[in-house]
Amino acid sequence: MRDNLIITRAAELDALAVFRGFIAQTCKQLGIADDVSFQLQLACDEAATNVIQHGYEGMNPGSIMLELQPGPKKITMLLTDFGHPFEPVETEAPDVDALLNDRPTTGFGLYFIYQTMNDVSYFTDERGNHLVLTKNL
Amino acid sequence: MELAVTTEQGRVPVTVLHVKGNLDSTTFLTFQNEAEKLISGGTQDLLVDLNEVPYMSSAGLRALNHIYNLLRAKNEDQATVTKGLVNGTYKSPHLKLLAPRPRVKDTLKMSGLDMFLDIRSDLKDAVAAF
Repeated sequence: MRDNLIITRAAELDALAVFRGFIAQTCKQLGIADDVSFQLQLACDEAATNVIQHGYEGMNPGSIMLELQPGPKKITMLLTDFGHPFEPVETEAPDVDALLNDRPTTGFGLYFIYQTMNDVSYFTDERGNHLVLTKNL
Repeated sequence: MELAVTTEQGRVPVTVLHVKGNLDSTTFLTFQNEAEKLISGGTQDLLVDLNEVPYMSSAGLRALNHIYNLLRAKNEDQATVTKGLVNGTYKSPHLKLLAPRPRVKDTLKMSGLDMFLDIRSDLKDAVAAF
């Protein structure tokens, strides 16, 4: 039976490096390729940053939980928070012309998540907001 | 993250901002503020050395884009940029990147910043490109 691959931290920016380290270490132990590990770290980082910066606005700072669920053909990351729900939507690449003219763009964060993951889903229940990110192996 | 600044003399004086450590939401503002300080202090041509940056998230990219626009605002006109973009020949003449690691390079490509930021692998070559 696998160890419980769950880590919980206060929803503060310091959690980002901890989560990335947790993913890197777990992937290494599981023999998951470095490319996949990197993409998981990037997607987690972008999603967790959104929660940390916006999820608890106007509320007492809460926590954010990362759970890794490795399978034979895919690995799933489950990010859970208890702040304001924020359902992600797939976005286009940021418009280069906007980047060149300092105009607001759709941002890189969501775009990176959808570019790096094979499936993105989101649901809210009595146990919090859950972002489910799946990467094929 | 640690920052260090050196200067190189090419055709023009080039300020080199060496970044050591991850560029993410935790650190990007320190990086951005240092670049802003350099630019307000007179830097017109900036080379960002990414050789010791193992990881960069969208926060680092936003900082680079912001720095690009600061340098452009001081030195470039819209017509030149638009023409170069249409021709596919435009790269920022005032902000260039040095030696990003493969994963950071992947992130730069995914964002599209590599379309207008010149990426060089060698310091002398990078300085000569300004």
